[in-house]
Amino acid sequence: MIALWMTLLPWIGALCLLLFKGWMDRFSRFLPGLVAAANVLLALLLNLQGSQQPTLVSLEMGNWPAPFGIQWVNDSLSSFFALVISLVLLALVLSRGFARDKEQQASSDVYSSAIVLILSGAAFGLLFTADLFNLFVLMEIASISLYALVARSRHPTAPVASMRYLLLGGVGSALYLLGIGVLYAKLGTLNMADIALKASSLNPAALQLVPLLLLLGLAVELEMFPFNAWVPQVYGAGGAFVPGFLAGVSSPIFALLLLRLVTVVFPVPQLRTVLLVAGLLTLVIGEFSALASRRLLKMLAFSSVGSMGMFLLLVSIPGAAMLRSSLFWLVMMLLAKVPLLGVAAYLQRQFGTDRFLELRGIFSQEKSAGLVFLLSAASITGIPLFAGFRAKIQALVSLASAQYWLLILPLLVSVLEFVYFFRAIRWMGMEPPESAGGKPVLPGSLEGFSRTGTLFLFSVFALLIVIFGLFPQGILDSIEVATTQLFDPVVYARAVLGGM
Amino acid sequence: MLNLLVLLPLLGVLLSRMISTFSEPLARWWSVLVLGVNTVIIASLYGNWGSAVLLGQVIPSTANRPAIHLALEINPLNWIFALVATVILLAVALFSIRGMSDLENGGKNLKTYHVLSLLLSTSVYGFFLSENLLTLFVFWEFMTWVSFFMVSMGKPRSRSAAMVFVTMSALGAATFLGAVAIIYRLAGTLSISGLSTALYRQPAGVGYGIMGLLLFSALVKSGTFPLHTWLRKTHGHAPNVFSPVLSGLLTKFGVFLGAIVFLLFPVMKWSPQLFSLMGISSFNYLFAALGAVSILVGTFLAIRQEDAKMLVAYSSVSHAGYILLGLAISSSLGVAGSLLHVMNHALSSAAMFLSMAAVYHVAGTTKMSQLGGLVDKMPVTFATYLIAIISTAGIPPMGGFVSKWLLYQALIEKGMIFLATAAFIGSIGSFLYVFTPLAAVFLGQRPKALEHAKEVPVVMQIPMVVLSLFTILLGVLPSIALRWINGAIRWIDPQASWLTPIPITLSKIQGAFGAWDSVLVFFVFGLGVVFAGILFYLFRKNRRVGYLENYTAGEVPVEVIQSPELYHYSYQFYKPLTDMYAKFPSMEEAYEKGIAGNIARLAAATAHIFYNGSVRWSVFLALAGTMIVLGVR
Repeated sequence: MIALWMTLLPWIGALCLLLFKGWMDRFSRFLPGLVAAANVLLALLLNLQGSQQPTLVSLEMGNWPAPFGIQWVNDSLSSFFALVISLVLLALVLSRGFARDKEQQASSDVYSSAIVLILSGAAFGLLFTADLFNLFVLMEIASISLYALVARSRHPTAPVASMRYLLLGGVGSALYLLGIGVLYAKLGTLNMADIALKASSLNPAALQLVPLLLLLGLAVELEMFPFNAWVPQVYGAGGAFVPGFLAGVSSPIFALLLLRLVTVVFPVPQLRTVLLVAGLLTLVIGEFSALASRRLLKMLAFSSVGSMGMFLLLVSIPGAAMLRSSLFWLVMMLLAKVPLLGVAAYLQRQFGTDRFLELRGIFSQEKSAGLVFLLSAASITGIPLFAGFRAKIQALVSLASAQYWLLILPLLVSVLEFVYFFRAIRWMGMEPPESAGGKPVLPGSLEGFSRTGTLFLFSVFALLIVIFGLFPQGILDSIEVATTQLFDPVVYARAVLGGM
Repeated sequence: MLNLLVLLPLLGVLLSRMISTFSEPLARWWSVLVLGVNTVIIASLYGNWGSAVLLGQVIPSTANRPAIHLALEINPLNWIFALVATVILLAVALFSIRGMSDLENGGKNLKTYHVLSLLLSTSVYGFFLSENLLTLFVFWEFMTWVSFFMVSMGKPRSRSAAMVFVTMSALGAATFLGAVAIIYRLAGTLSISGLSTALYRQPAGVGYGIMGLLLFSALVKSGTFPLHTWLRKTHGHAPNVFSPVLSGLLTKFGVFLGAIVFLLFPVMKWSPQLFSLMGISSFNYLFAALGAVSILVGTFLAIRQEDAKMLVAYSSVSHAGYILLGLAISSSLGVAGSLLHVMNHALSSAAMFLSMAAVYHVAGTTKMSQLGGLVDKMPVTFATYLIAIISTAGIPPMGGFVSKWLLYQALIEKGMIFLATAAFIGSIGSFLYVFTPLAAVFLGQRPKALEHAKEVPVVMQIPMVVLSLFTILLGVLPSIALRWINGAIRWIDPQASWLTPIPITLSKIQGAFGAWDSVLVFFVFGLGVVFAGILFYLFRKNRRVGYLENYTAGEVPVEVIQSPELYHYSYQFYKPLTDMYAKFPSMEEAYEKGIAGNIARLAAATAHIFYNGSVRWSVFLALAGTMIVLGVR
């Protein structure tokens, strides 16, 4: 039930905002934050339910027994990630609240806040859903909300970016529906656990086709090459919420869905081969494009693509250790991506540009932003002993234990990562500013409490990077618990279906 | 005890920041205190070999492999490196109390610099005292990161120099990490002293592959050919007190890694499977050859430098070549010579850089054409520099000679005529290039601007004097150091199957073809100097000439009026020689404009092809990708 409330609460909030628009104008400022905080509490409750041993709680919608009705499953993996995602969402929603323009129309903000709430609800739903069509519905809700949110951004390229995202998302959805269609025609069920049990009865052609179609359907949100052409412009449109959401909430959630697909539903070799190749391509093309970027937000967008590529690479290799490394990678990287994107969006808001050549020496003016950027960049490039280093070393060790040659591209690409992050740090932090007074702050920029609040939120992430770098055991243990269930898909599937 | 060596400077960082808020000079003395305590600890740890865990479970344990911790260890080999490191760090810290005049933004960056230098010290201690390769990597990366900021605090062009430095270090780190991952998979352990047993059963191909990867990193870090191009710019533009640390210590990171590879891998088992050249395996010969080329490249490039710091940077390239040569030969004399050379080079290059920093402190530049005649104004600096260059050029009775003598013996013993020729040319060439700053900066005519120069403060003189004294000591009584080196050799090869300790007495060293009696030679030299001194003071007749009183056969060239530095007789000192190779292609440019430039172009092309903003193209890519994925079975 708690899982259901994590989705329903934001949706009810959105409904209230829209229905009672006139009366809710003042309240609309606080509602998203309140709902996000409530979700954090719910996630904590969810985790308290099963603290040491793996949980498996099944929710059947409308009391239709699975696999006939839609089923939501709360297992250890979704509990753990529900907590992580809810915390990230809270931070993002709060920073969005801080970034709210004083001159902005309260009424237009109501719409954006409503969209944000709908998006949050869909995100949590995606964590718990155990039905492929329900996944599609929630994915569409989330995507459409994102298209709308991106289009509402004030950046001049926002509408085109949103349209590109929409078109590519449409391609992905079409492919996904095709996959579901074939699957339903062949197996008569769309419940993930049921498919896991019945997958072997599919004929070889279908077994090759269906998982690939489903993967391609998720590929757009996973920022997988060649479906990620939307990424640079959408991140580049900026804003306090969207880039952080994409990197810190959307990508991890879809990554989790991919994980479930690959380990439980369709643990077939074809899927893994495609993931390997796609992962390598995503990684290399993403990181090279990051090297060429002159804008911070685009550079970070490509960096995010690159780290998703690495994740895809890790997932493509079967085995318990790889599973754990990939999840660890996901969590540690999102810890760094959110503050990085937050700082970049903040700089764009304050000074009107995110080109680091134009922001020469900006960190002498914005010291805390600089420190956050530095620590997060150190984490992503894998400098010891930050959180990202822990993830990187485990990933590399796992890759080495699979195939030696898999090490080559990630290592070479890590050099590129070093270069472009340190280039940004050099221009923004080490070069002296052009004028003695520093860059003028734009009208409508954050000041006072909003500014402090935003920087405080990112600093919390930076602090977590340092803490988890030194003491990652807590996260490692949670991941261990979270993944034990997934290792034997048949047992897991039977448990989900309740012994049917 | 061991953990203290790393934790003390780390603790010192926190206190340093607090202290510097109310008294900045006190923070500098605090650094000196911390490093002094560490020096005492290291000195006392000789003989108390052991290890300690710093931080547990960096790589968590798995079913069939134990966890890898962040652990420190002290053994006879790394004790030598740690001792050298701590002496240099202490000397530079003492010097930095007054010698930081070239830091950009003056006071604002000083506090940060001191914090960073204590962080750097932490990484140095942690690196040399590592128990396993992972700890080594952790401190290596830490050092790179901290150095990036320290280098960037120098002159305006230091930022691009820092980028080059970080890029090449990142390349080295990538290969290092690859090797670590492979070793972990093969052996399940990363312990440095246990590498020989861990990798014993691996085939030679795999073994040499891993060694190659690690040696790539070692070459990058130590600034050996062909990966030496970053040293010139980094030394040239970094803060003056950073250069002695860079040259004396940070390049020794690469050397230490090289020592681990050549000495602690089971090379004796693998080399018979490779065809041998000149008595050593071809793999080792390749690296010995690279070392020899490095000697020559460093020497000849140093000869044509006009900035004293860039000149000494190339001398570091040359000396890294000597050290690699000795390690690659892997005979007792070669190894002993290399390890001794590490100590001598660290001392002498630190002394050279410190004296150049002292000159900068007084004159505001290190461009040799703008300096001159400082010998009577700065006698202590002059003496430091003189002793350092005698050691660098490998002339008795300074320490540099002994290590070079051992290396020559090793080369001649194996009959490696080409490498020996390179080493001899390098030695003579090094006398050429070290003499240029001596003549240009200290001797010769003094520009009017420097008439009021005076010697640097005492606190800056002390480290220079101490380093010079150590250099002389190592030349007169090298047996002290050789005793430690013999201890390391015995630890590396207890059964003396391929390395035997060098036979020494208090004053004599037994080489392959004879003995070297250092005390006797020192007395002979000393008598010679005394005799020459007596003659000089009895019969001297010298005349002081002004700066522009130069003989030009009655003509005044037009160029001279525009650039009077052409009158400075040390400008383009070796022009006939350097003209011979002035038009040779530059490796620095090949790397930076060639390789790096092309990678940047590739990156721009990638971004342009795949992410160029055309919506139709992006949808096409997606659909094409779909068709490929679904079509390929």
